[in-house]
Amino acid sequence: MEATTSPQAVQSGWAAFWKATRRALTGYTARTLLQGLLTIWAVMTFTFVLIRQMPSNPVQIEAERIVREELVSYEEAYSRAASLFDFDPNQPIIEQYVEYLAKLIRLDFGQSITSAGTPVLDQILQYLPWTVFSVGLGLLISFTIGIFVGMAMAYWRGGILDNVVTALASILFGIPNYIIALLIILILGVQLKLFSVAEALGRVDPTIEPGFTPEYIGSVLSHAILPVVTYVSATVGGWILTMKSSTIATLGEEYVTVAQARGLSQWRVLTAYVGRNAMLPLVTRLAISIGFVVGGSVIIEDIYRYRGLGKFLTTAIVARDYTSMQGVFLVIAVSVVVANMLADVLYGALDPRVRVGKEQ
Amino acid sequence: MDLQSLASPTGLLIGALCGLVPLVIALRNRTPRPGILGFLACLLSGFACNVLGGLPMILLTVAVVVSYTYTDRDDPFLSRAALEEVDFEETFGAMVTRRLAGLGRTIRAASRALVRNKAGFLGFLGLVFFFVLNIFGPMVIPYDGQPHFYDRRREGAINLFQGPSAEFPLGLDWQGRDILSHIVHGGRALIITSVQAGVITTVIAVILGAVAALIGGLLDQILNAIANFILTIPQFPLLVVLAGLISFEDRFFLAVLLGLLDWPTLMRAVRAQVLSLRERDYVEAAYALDLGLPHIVMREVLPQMISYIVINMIFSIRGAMYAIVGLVFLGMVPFTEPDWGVMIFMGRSQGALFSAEAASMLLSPVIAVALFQLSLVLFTRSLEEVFNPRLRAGL
Amino acid sequence: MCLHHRVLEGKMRKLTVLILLALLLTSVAPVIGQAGQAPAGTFYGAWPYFLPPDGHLNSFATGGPSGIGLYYRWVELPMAYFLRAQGEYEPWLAESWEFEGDEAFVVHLRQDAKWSDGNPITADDLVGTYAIGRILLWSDFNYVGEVEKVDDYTVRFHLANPSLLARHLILRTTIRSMAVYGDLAQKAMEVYASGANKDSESWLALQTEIKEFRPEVVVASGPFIYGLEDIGDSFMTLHWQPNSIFSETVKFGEVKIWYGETEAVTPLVLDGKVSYATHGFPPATDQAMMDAGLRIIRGPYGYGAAVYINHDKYPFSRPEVRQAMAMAIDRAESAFLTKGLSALPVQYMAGMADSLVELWLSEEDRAALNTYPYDPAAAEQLLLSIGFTRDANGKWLDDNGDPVVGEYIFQAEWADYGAAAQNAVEQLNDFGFQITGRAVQWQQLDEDLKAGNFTLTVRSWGAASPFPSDQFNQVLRTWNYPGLGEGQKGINFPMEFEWRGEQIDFGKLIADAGAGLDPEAQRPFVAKAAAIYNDLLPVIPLSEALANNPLNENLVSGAPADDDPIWLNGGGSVDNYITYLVMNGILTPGPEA
Repeated sequence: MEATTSPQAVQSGWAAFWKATRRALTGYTARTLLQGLLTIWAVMTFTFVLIRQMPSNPVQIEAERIVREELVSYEEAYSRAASLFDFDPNQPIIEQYVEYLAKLIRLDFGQSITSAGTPVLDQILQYLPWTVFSVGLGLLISFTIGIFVGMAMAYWRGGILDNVVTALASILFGIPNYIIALLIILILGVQLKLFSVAEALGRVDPTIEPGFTPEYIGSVLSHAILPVVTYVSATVGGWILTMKSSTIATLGEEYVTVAQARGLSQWRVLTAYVGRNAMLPLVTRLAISIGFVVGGSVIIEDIYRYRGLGKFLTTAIVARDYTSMQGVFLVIAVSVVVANMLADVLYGALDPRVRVGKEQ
Repeated sequence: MDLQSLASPTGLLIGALCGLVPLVIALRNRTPRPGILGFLACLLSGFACNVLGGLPMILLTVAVVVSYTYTDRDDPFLSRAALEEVDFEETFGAMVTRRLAGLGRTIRAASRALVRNKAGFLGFLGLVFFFVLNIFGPMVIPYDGQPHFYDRRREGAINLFQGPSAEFPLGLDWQGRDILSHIVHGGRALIITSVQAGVITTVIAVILGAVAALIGGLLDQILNAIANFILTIPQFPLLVVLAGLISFEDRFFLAVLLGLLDWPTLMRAVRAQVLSLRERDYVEAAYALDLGLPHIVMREVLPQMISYIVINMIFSIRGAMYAIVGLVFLGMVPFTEPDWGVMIFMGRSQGALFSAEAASMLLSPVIAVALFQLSLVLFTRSLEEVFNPRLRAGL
Repeated sequence: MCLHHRVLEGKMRKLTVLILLALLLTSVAPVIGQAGQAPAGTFYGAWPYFLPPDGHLNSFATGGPSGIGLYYRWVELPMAYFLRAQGEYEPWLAESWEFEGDEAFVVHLRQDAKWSDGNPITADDLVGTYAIGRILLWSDFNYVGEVEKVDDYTVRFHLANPSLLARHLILRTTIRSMAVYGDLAQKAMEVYASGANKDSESWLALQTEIKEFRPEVVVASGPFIYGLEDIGDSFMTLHWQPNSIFSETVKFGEVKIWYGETEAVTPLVLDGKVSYATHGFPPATDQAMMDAGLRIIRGPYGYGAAVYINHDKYPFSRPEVRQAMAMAIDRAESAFLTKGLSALPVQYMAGMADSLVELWLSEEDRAALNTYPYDPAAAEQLLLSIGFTRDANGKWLDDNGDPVVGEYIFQAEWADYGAAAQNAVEQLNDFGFQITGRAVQWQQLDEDLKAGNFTLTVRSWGAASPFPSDQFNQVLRTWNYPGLGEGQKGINFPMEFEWRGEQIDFGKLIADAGAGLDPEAQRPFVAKAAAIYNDLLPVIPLSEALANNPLNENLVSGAPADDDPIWLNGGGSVDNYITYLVMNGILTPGPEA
């Protein structure tokens, strides 16, 4: 439906977008940027102090693991763990902080404690794409479904579609995502045996050579089905309901009545006038949600053993790998801040009222 | 306030005594139907929460009873606005009656609005179900907390799990305990903590939002910065870290923590609303009259936003439950049994995911949590109608 | 700028290594052709290994080959394999060894053993391995001083502290190839020779360099080898290589290791896709595995749950109270609730595994031990005899008239120990104590335990070590004031006391039980320490944990019968029985492998 928007509308949309971007790059944005940086710094400092207050430390946790897995005495395990990790429990926290900050300015996230010699940035780059892919895909799908279904429901409100989907959307909206995930595995996988749990877990079939081959991409997609279905079903209800109420509100606006009075076709009114404007608040919300893509999947990734950033973060928390944890928190904070800025810019560019107001 | 109090026979007596008040008033006014309903309402709420439930219910039911006779006797077309314009020469008794009637009418209107939206009413019924389950359930089904060794073990089995049977409708858990009893007893603390968290969130958000908007200036900027800061920290991972940091011996503490992390969104909305309300005449007038901040917030701002705030509180409650169960689910917080979240965690770590016999230990709490959250969300639909003056005026 | 430079340098190095590798491969290729063919059949294991970038090929650092669990020893072989039942070592890379008095321990390496790159495995490799190990503060150096190359196949370890433990640690160490780690070993020897100690800058810098070293290839001494490209997302693959001493005996041409912890591996095991797994499975899964027709191996771990007691808290500090508790808890019930069939009630209550008690104590000494059979009546008599009474509700009051109350903390996340604790609380309360249980995160519990902030808790008695002194020390050093940091008391069990009219230095007694090179000389000390432990019960042992490792006999054949002593070796990563069975060719591909 978006594609059918007239070329002029698209063009003017883009032009306005660039204009807003340019404008944003001067005065106003300098301030926003500074604010963003300050927020990121505050979050970084806060989490830095916080995670180091958790009980135990990386060496003790590793020693415990060695004792349990390799059946050696605790003392042997402790000395081994201590020598393997780049971690000095006696270093004052302020010293650690200054060191970390000095590295961070050079965009160096430091090295993982529990996996000495591995840069945290490498770890993040290994896990981030998978999370962005699965959660992002879920977000995109559920946003798209939400827009179209929500609009249709508003248009034919009171009809069968409206009633059925409203009920369905409310149900989906009401159930936490991890509950959906558990139900999928438990009922569809284990009890009904609709799919093999063993094969569905994980990110990709390792026997397939990575590359841009249909097999590899197919495997990546098929392994993403479970998490994506979960993300979609947990969020789509919210999008549908919001889009529906937003469309209803827009349908009551004067310009829609005027457009209808001008004798424009139903379709044109629906797409160019109603859809566009009803989508406004949702697009901003989408931009904000994008910021949370990175950190919003901790439990789901744990259930599906989908090794993304969320699973990595929980592993790091359990192992008390301070530097890795810190890195993930930082990435999430940055993406949230950037997404919020994006939302601001988008809102300015898309809302004709804001646009006109500013140009005058 | 003793939220943990259980339904008790004393409560039943208190409820019955309380119920006599609306009943007697109704019979004297020759309106037996609301009187009987009022009696039952008092009986139940007194049964559930003793004096705490009984006394407020007297007020509510008497109001409803009075509202019937009051309007019937006087002008049936009397509007609320007119009610409030009665001159000041009435006696004290007359004023009380008038006020009660007003309240009663509001209650009746609200309850009709509540029933009107089918989905919303379903949600309401769901919440009532959980209320009954948690308050009265324990009277019928005692908590089965002792591990059962040989006495419930099936022949030759090496674990104590059991599927549903006539004796144990939901089966037995990993320690051979009745799952049904854990469902009945395991929701209360979770729900109470979630509600506490929701209320704390709302209180913080409303106060800070109103303060930020009405005082403005530097305070506004600082509060906004804090809100921004909290919104930028990934909530759930942060909770996981905090869970390791603080030992949650007191559930209330957890609620406070959740509240402290959850207020910014609502606070921003309240702030925006108050900013726009500030422009309106009556608020400006109140400001000019120097009526004080609390007065303006309570009398002028809140009533305008009540629908939004209450619905937001429901979502905060839902979010809090999501977080609590999620934390327990990942094994990140110490916990006490019985608790739905703990059942899910233990079920998972005890292999219930892969054993048909043990599935009930996971499914039961999973469905309970899902149903409760669903009821909450559906209930907001009715709330919208209840609080929407335009919709209610149509009655 | 600097960064760019380093990147370039790294690329150059990579390139050179690649070229060298290519040359090496072309030269080795004909050798591979001549040697035997890889046997058919695949072994399917399971382990939560590390995925790159955390996973790499440096076996000195976490995430390297040593991070693939028991399968590490299929890639890099130790000098010997310890047979727990016999208390003997089977020579692998070493041919023989002996003590030279109290001064030194000498190892003679096999002369026919080769690395996968075709080079012989020599004394240089062993000396180099230990040079790096010294920088990494291996616990071997608690006993070992200088490591000296005698000739190409002989190494002398000078003993700083003569102990049988030195032999145990050395022989089970895997040797690393100096073709890979030679540079590091050279630097390690230089740093050590320079007189640096573990706090010197040069020492620490080298430590970091070792940990950050990322070799491009594995040079294996075992019959299996892998590279980074073999580490996949849901499994990794080890390939057979012809040059190992076991290349001709192993019957598997390939090892596939599924990725995952217990929950991820369970469906694979139940689907019959795993030959053998070492994960700790909960009883429900145990049952499901048995129903699926899998054979479950239940080897002992050598430790298990015990009631830990804070000896600062009255009345638990009284030995009579602990003895009464030991009799008031039904250990059979406790064991079943802890881990189903995979836990056994402790029999001898002597602070070490029952199998070790039978190995080390004479029949007479054993008969003298109190086995504390479940007997609430006897427990009652014992408490009454020291002035305790019961109140109107049947609850115990101590001799001061105070109720016997206390909090029992347990690990929220450890289902087995949590169950043991909850059951102990139930049983003690049935007996008339007033104990409340509380779940705590396990990390927090460790902190509380060290700091002495507890009354009762649950942790392990004993250790996986075959040495009684190690087993005693698990409780009396690791979680007691002598082995803890400043200001930490742990269980605070006094180590010097009078016992049966004799002044005892318990720490010294236990040290004597592990000192010297003659087991016969240690025996009386072991027996005495066991007797004291048995009488005073610093902690109350409840059950001994058993592994429940599924073995899929469709995928592997030839596993010995359940009573074979090899199973006593346990399912740990070191000296795992499967390693022994596979290397010696006893285990063969099953009908479906």
